Amino acid sequence: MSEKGPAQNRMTIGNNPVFRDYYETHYRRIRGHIAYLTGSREAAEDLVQEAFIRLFHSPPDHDRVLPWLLRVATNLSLNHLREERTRRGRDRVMMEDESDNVITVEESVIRNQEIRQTRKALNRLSERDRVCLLLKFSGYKYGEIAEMTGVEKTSMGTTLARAQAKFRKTYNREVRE
Amino acid sequence: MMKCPSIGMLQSLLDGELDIGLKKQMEQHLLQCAVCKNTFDNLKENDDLVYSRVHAYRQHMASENGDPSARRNCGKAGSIGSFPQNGKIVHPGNRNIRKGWSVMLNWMKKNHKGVTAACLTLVLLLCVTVQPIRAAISNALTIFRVEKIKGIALSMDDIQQIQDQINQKNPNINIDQLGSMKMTGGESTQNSLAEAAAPIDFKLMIPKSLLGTEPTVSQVAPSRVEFTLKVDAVNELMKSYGATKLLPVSIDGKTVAVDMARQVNMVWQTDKGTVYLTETAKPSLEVPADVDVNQIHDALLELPILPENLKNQLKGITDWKNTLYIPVVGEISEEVMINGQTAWIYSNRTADGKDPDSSLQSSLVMIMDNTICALGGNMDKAELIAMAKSLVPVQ
Repeated sequence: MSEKGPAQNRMTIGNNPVFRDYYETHYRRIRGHIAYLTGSREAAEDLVQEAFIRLFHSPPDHDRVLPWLLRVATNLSLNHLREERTRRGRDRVMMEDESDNVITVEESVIRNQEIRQTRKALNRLSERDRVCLLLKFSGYKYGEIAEMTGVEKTSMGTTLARAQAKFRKTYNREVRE
Repeated sequence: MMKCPSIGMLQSLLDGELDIGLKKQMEQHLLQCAVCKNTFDNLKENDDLVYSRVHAYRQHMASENGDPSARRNCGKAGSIGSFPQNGKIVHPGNRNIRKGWSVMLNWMKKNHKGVTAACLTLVLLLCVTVQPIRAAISNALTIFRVEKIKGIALSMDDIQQIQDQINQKNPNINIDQLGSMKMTGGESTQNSLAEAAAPIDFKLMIPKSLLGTEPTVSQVAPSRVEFTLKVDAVNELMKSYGATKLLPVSIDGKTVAVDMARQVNMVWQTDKGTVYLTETAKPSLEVPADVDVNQIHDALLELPILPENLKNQLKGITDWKNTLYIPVVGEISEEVMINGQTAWIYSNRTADGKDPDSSLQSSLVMIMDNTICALGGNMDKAELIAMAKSLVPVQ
């Protein structure tokens, strides 16, 4: 029961204690990561399951499970974004957020506005640029982003500079509208 | 002098990705080359903007709050085997009070629709959120400071009602006609906990159980917003909403300023989920001594476009000058006592386990000594109250 790594276990998913432990430890983090990258909590609910199913079926041969999961989650997110673009073929209609919380007045009127504009600006970026930008702002270094997205490390600076300039431009345009 | 670096190189410099030798060379180059310096400054501006927007966005997306799709979907693809779906991240968005102000100001300037709703809200907030700490700091100014908080029940319908009325009666109102606003400060930075705890404007407090752990910390610098109202224009507007009581003409051209203190945002990722804590010193309002705030308060509360229930709640508060209003949207929040202080707490899960599908999250706002705290997390009401009671100064 205490083996390191989930590989050795041949039990079913539901009652494998090692896997269960990983699941319980990392579930929220991975789902949050996917929601952040894809901009969709709904997608995150599905993809987080997919990430763990991959962990169960083809686990890494090392114990650094969290980085492994984050990389898989990033991949799934990128694919999801690409499929989404193909499927819709046009700008998405952003879902209006509803808040039923203790909120300050400016949050009730404004905050969601800001989030919506941020989403819109992100949606105007290519999937690759978007994911590079978001990974950078969640603390990853160029080398790690390159590894996860397939963008050359040497062109990361250019990619990010372009993505950020475009974000700013479209964000400001959204705000003015 | 080195050859001008590419934009990608400049971005790498900005992102701290260059090795030390190259970094020094580039910094030297920027001192000498105005073209590159200009490009670099522009990249930096982009970076700052994207950072501030993405930061708020990230907190929003990583939380479970406020997205109906997440709830709708819970349990659909939600279970593998018998695994509990307890993986709900909490927090409620950023209680970024100060950022809220600056965003609000930008939005008011740029978004004509609903601008009056925001304006009205803002003026109401200004008028009702503060209290004289001393009669005056000088003869010229009266300083008001928040001392208490009070929840005001407000539904989305109420907000909608105000907006609808405003849109019907005067859809094209422009904030520039009503007066001028100036905002300074408010820059945000990322820091360590020790850095955030160093200044003495207020004592940074964290939950006892999290002492010795390092949260993600960001700070917003103090900011100041100055309003100079054109009373005639504001009164015209108020008349168009059916107001009979108007603002005193004496405040025309007078400048009212809101000083927002430094704000510290902290986020911990714990085994049980996210814990989120925002602290700021109390904001204060400066009003020229000859301005009668009572008169403004009364005039605003008489506005016919305010929903009756809201009006009554506001009127019921006699000590409005020292109260920070916290609009409580929805019905599941309540007043509790934390170490002798009033706090407003929201929890999406009640003790009888209603609504098991939604994520477990609670948050509260309270005033402690000189500090306004907003604490939230992946826990139930009792746990959050216990955590709020356990706040201790960071050493």
